Amino acid sequence: MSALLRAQALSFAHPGQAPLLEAFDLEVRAGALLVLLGPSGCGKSTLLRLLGGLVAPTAGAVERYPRLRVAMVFQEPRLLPWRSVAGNLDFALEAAGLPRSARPARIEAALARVGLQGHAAAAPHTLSGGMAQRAALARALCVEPDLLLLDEPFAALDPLRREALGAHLRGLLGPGLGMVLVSHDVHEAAALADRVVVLGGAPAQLRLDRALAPEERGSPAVVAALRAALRSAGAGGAV
Amino acid sequence: MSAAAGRLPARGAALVAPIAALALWALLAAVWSSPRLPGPLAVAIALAEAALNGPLWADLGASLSRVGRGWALAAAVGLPLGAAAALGGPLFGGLRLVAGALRPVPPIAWVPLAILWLGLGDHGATFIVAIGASAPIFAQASWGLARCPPQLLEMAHAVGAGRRQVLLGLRLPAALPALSAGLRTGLGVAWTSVIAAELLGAQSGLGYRIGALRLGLDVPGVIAHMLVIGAVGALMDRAVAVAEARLLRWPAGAA
Repeated sequence: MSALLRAQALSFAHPGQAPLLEAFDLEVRAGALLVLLGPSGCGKSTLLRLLGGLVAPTAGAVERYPRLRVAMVFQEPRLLPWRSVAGNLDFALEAAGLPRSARPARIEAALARVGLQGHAAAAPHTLSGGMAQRAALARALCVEPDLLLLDEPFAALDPLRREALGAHLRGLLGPGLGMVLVSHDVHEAAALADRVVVLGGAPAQLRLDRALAPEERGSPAVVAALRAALRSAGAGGAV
Repeated sequence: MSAAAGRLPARGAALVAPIAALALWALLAAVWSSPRLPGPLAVAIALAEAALNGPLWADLGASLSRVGRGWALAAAVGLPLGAAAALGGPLFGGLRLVAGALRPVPPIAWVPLAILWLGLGDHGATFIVAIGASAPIFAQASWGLARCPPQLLEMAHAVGAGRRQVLLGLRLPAALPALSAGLRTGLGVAWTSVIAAELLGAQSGLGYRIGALRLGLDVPGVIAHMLVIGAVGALMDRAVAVAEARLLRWPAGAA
């Protein structure tokens, strides 16, 4: 599997504050789901934004595969409330420079991939939390990204919907699509990941980098190992 | 209990306060028994008289026309200046200081200058209306366009939207509720301003008519015209609120 992007000696600090990241290295490969696991406030969301190019590092660089297309899903759906579901996807396609005539087919295909066919004309405030987050996922998918960056996308969902959407995400994985998912939940990480990177400390250090075989996914041993790594990462007994 | 049966008493209850106010007015008029406070019946007769034979409709037309022109002028000036203050950097941001210094001056305090500059009549009153209405329109535009939800801005950045798309596809629609609130408040201020302006410096309109009727000691006429002013103002506000609800159908604060 080839590298989609490579963070090299990445450092980041908010102006006038202690560094969140210092000389951090990470390689993200295609076709796999990488979970960035860490306690709240450890800098994992910032790392995700650095990988996505939403914030600039204070030192180091993110080297990307040429013409890599990255899309992002946030904790909240962040849908434009004045546009329909289809209109929200159209916003991303317009930004991507897709001609108007090519957009409806893309929108339809993306909505089908997340199980929202038939909801194209719905207003965002009429959707349930889970449906709204799936619409946000469709907005990310419609630009046909090579890499999906997900910032705790299940945080606002109830456990049942969380599990369903997680399984759905794994179903979308393929040779052309890699994912980086930020989470603070060991069970979620153990259940979904091909590879888990545990972060902790300030500035954030790599505490564990472990690949999971399919049969290991969700196993109590993995959960225990991740929990132990999180403890050493400074989350105490809270997890 | 059916929904209709549940609503009827509520609708009836809402009428208690207006009827009580009317009754109190009638009682005070009867007790005082002075031409300085006519009762509801005398006012109703004066109203019918003005509507059927008097210049009520011409006055109403003159006032509404000034409000329409002054309000449109206020929007034409206030919206672009508000946009400039919100998006034009520190140089244009200073417009807020100018507006902040002018806002405490009530529109009616501009009457002397309006008369000096534009004379008694149409233009002066329209100018006062524009001055009054432009303050809330400018304030809401500059506030609404500056204050786009940061989560949505980050989303737009993440999908790679350019400056033009962020402005037209995000900032402007996100500011529409504020722009609409400014226009609605501005219309209310325009209506109260036109009455004040006409009272002091015009030859027609509802405000002018109230002053003229007072000089003729026609108290029922004065009160009848006051009621018209109140009713028209309430109707205009209602009309804008209905238009707003039809155009802006997403709930406030949704993101």
